[in-house]
Amino acid sequence: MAVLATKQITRHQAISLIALFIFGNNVMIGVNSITGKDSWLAVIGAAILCIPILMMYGRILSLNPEQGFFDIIFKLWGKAFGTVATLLMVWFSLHSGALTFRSLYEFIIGNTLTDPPYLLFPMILLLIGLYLIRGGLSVLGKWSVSLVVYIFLLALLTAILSLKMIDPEYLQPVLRHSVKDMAIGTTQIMSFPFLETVILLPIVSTVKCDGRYISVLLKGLLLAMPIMIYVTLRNTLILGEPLMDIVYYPTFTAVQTLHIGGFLTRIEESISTYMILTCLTKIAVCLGMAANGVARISSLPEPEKIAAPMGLLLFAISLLAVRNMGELIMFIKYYPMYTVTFQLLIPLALWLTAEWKNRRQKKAGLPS
Amino acid sequence: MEYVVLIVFYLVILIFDFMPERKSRGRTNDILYLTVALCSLLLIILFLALPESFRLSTALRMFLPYIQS
Repeated sequence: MAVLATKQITRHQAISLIALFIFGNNVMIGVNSITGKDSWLAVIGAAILCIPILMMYGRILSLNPEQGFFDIIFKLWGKAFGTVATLLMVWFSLHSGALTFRSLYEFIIGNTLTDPPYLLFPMILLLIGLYLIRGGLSVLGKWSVSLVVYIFLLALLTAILSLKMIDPEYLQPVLRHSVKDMAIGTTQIMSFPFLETVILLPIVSTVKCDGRYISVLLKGLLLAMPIMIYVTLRNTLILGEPLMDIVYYPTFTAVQTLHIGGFLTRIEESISTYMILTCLTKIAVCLGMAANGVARISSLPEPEKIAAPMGLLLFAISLLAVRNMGELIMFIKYYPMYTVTFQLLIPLALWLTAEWKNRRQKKAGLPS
Repeated sequence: MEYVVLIVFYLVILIFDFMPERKSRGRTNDILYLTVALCSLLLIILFLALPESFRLSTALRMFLPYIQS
């Protein structure tokens, strides 16, 4: 079974990793702006609508316990279709990781440094991502637990500091946007970032949880939701809808306004730290999934041995993916149409096949 | 100058990641490793050669015609 070494990831680590993955670069670039001040409602709606889809992801794993995600694909669909499906998922994880990678180094180059060498930072970030993957799941798991604690503490600090900067009138009138706009916004938030958790399925499949993968996925979503809603609300209450529409990094811009007593400023640097760390986690997971998929196709027992060239491929795709940050944010509008295959159609077909085979085996009295 | 650093980066990856584990990885997987690395290099060359207006997101949007309007 081609799974990421070393060992497995514990339940709590998996839940933390799912939450971190959902934060990813979403916290940095914020949720989509079509719903403007009602984005927080779209986040709640998207999370609720994602529950049945995450349950479907978990059910696929539950029907084939203690098997890797790509092993499940090959078992259910055979070698030919299994290879095609695996390649599609590998492509999706590479592209998603590349977009995250691009947004990260565009953020570092554009916001924090003055005219740095353009390619140097991606290379350094890639090395860190490769280290996370080469270290194995245990490293990734421990990293995710400590990072989630840090993020919650930071969220608490910024919540306290932002109390005097918020203006409740920025939220009014609530539900000003039409039903169509809210539906589009909700769909966009579902596809980015909630349903990108499909990329985590190879990692979640290694968790020892007595087949209760659904609870792991849902608890990860539950852990991420409060922070997502809080960040969206805070950005809206501090910046207001017009300013949120024009800035690329609303979280960073909102926190720039915070200070303690007028003497302790630049708190946005701590926010940029956690943005970088969450993005790195997402990139590492995407890279791991891609390496895992390629390793399964080529029957390589240790996927981390192929992680480095996959990282180089991810880096190259990140250069070609979009022209600039503006185009990346524009692309998010088309994201639901593009990702429906990877996030919905392939998992749905897998689930239906798994249920059908499970029932057939039960009728025949065979072990599943 | 940046592209010189990029080539050095590729060489560092090859030397420190590819070479030490060559025997344990097996010949077929060595070929796979080098193929993937070569693909990434070709993509970077494509990035340098193509005009800035052509990017992956542009191509994907062309395949989603009902979005274009």
